Amino acid sequence: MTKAEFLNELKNRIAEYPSEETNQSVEYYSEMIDDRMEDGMSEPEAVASMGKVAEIAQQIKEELPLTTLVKYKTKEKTKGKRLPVWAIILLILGFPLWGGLGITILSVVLALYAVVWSIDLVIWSLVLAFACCGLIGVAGFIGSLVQGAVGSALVYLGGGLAGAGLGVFLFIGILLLTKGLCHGTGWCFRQLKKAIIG
Amino acid sequence: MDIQLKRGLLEVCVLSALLQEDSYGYKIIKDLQPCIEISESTLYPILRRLEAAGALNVYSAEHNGRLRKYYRITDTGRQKIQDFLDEWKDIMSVYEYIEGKMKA
Repeated sequence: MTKAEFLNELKNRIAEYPSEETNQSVEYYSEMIDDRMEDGMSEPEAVASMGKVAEIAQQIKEELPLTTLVKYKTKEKTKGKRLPVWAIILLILGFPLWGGLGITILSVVLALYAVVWSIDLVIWSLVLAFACCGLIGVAGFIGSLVQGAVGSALVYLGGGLAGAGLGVFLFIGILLLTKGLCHGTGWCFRQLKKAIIG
Repeated sequence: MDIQLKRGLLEVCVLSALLQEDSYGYKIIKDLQPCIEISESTLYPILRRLEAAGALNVYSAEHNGRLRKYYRITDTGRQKIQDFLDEWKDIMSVYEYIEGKMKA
């Protein structure tokens, strides 16, 4: 590869970013190749020692500040799909309609999300209630025994154990569900970020 | 070597290559060769970062009929090197403590 080919390919790969950024990078690599050639390397050797263009371009992108990246990524996505004027006017005029719809959909999604968490909370309350049930059962059992009422003591013990057992079962389930919800939420946010930044 | 650590080390290495005199990209790489291996594509973002941090200034000067960029260290840059040396003095004393524990 010649120096010109190398620099051209590099330029093409980072052309979507601010032009000062592009120019500086290209100037830098141009100078590096020149200096290597001055030091006795042949042109193809000097170019080869720079490494792969794709990797260099990727590295330049990674070093750009996030705000610049987001700006240029969103630009890149809408590039070529620019809306005609009439569509923009329609969009603005239609805002009461699609704006309302959009807000509704967003609200529904958020409401559903809140409902899922509410269910989660309710089950946690149940677990707590069962745990209390178990404690009261044991307390009642001891109390009845002291009073000599063996029949009601057994009823207390049975009820308490049943409650505590159910509580343990629910506890395991709800722990998994809550963890799943947290992971799911994180995943959604990552997907959303990916969709915006690309 | 830990990537974050290497990044920090490279920054100080590049700054130290400018202590005696102003330098340019290829010369920095060659000067650092005995100390640490650094490629063109690694050096570039480091120079940009150091420039943004005010640790060095950039100017262009003619060389063999073309422009070459030269880098000059600033007071901020010198302070950065001093900070590095101070910090590593602490790290070395921790190192010696741990080493002593290992031998004991």
